[in-house]
This record gives sequence, C-alpha cells and structure tokens, in this order.
Amino acid sequence: MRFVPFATASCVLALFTIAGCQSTPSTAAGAADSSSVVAPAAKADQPVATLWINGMACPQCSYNVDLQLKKVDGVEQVKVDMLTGKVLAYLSPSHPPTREQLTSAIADTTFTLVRLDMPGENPTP
Amino acid sequence: MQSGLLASITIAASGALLPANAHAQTPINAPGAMQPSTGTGVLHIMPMYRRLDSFEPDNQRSADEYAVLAQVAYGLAKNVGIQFDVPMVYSNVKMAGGGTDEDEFGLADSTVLLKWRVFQDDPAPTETTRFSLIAGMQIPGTIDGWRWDASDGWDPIAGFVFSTVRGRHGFNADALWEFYTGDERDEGRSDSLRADASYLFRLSPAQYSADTTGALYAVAELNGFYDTNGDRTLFFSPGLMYEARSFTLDATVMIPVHQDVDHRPETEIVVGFGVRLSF
Repeated sequence: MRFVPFATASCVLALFTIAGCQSTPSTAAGAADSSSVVAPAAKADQPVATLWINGMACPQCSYNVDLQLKKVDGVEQVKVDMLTGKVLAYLSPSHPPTREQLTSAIADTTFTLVRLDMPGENPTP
Repeated sequence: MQSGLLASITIAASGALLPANAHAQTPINAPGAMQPSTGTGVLHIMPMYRRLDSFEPDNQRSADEYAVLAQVAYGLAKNVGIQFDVPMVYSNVKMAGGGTDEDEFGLADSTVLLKWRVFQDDPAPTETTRFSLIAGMQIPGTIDGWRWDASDGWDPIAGFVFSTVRGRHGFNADALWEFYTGDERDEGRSDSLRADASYLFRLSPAQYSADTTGALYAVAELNGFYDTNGDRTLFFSPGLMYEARSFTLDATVMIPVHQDVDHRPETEIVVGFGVRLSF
C-alpha cells in the first residue's frame, strides 16, 4: 500500500510538468478575429480554403481535422484555431481540391462543418 | 464468483471494459460518446496496480495485481466506432498466516464493442453533445484458476453513453449491462450493470487559441458496479489527464466508497497511468 501514494504523487507531478511545458497560454478575446490564425509559411499566391467547424472540443479533435484534410490530394497545409473553429487549408496552386473533396473529408470526422469558403469565393457574411 | 463485467472493472481501473476513448472531456475509467474519425484510431496502454483483500476461502486471501491494459479504438464510419480491450494481468496472492503465495499471469477477459452515435449536436466551435449506443461481447481470457473474474461465457454487452462539453466543462454518463451466458450461475456468477458519471474541468488553457497544442484536465468520476447476485461497489475516482494533439497522458486512483460484496474480493485501491496515441 505504500506504493500507492508515492506513485500517485509522482504521476500528478509528471502531468503538471508536461502541461507546463506544452500547453499554451490563453489568448485575449481578440483571438476570435481571423487574424489569429497564422499562416504556416504559405506562399503569397497560395489558394486558401476557409472552413468553419463546430464541435472540436479538444486538441485531439483539431488533430483529427488536420489528418482528414491532409488526406485530400491538393491540401498542402492545415491550420486550426480551436477557439473560433476556423480552419485554413492551404491548397496546391496547380491542382487544388474541389469543394466536394473538402466537404467529404470533414464528413469523415466526427465534427460539424458549418461553412466552407473556397478560394476566390466571396465569404458569406 | 462474479460476472466478468464487474471483474473487468476491477481489473480495469481504466480500461478493460470500454473505458477510455481519447477525445475531449471524456473520462479515464469509463466510456465517453466521442470516438475516432473514420479511418483513424487511438491506442491506449495503461499499466495499473490493484490491491485486493479479504476473499475466499474464509476471507484469508489478499492480492497484489499488476495489469497492462491495451485498448484500440478505431473509427469505422462517421457515426460508428469499434473498440478492443485486452488486459494482461499478473497476480500475486497471499494467504493470511504465512500460507504459500500463488502467482498467476495471463490474459484476463477481453471485450469487443461497437459504438453507434445516434445523436450529435455541435452548437459552437468547442461545444458538443453526443449520445451513443453500445453493443458488444466479452471474450473469455486465458487465465482461470482461483480468479473470480475469469468468465466462462461469451457475454453480450449493451448500453449507452452520453457526453457533453461546454467550454471548460465536460459531463459524461453511461450504463452498460452484461448478460452472463456461462454455466456457473450456481457458483455466484450473474448479470451485471456498470454505471458511471463524470465531470472534467479544463485546468489549462482557460481559453483555446490558434496556438493551442495541449490541455490539462482535472477528472472526477463515480464508477458504480452492480451484480444481480447482490454484489455492489461504488468508486470515487479522481484523476488528471493531459491531452496533446496526438497523444494523451492520464493518471487515476479508484477509491472504493461503498462495497457490499460476497462473491468477489474487496478492492482496496486501484492506481493507473495511461498513454493514448492517435494513429
């Protein structure tokens, strides 16, 4: 039984240590602005599709969206803002995927696609 | 003797019977209504320790048990997932008064479960409510001997699970019934029910952002187990969970707050540590 409190304390300490190293601080309320989604070294003329997704309640949720979108031929990079549910998909200029391909990819996740703005489209207000 | 469901729980502080899922504010020792996306999965490995006391014959036995629970959850379709749980157990049983120790090692009863999400509402980017039906089977393991939790039956399991996440708060509830199909009812085995309720609070970050790569949760669970032979146990299970984008670390302690058992050992405590890897 002496093992139990020692092991528990060790584990709790380890978890807090990991969290301290890897979790990120919260952002200001202004993070909801679209500018908070930083483009990961996208080319200036690279087409970008913007998706709005509900139900991503955890870091692994955003990872799932990332994985599914990257399976689509023509999606080069993905950036997810969990606070706003805004997802930027950086597309290949030479062979960008279609709206249907992106919609289908999100349908394979367990989340809800609210809106999809393809490159060149006028964003819905 | 007791049915496998109740037994699995005991083995399973966190795994054997369909616990961990791996997404969002779902509990460590109980199921959640979240599941992997289509074509993706989660591997959960959980070493754990369990201390048992006062069991047959004549309440003279106690046991230290070390288990490694391996769990794989995989998304078959948008609303359907499958999950396998395989616990490997080493037990060292001691007799009061200096009797001979007894060791046992092998696979305890495993489970295969299908989860079908029948309701989902995602009203906001980080909010969701889900309800799933669960059906599956318990598969007898390779160990038997003195064990009270080595079922001789291929027992069907049916139940449901509800999960909701509202910002930093997550709530889960589930109930699972296992129908005992073996030939040892006269030895005390029976159908069994497990019911769980849990609350998870996201300690950090207080608010998600575009740069969030991980989250730390405090976990509080109530895990209840009832056998139709009359045995019942209620655990309070606090824990911590750190969830990164592609892996999760969790730690839990199951503390019995009520035990009334005649057909199995009393559980003094269960401690488990887990890692879940997405693939």
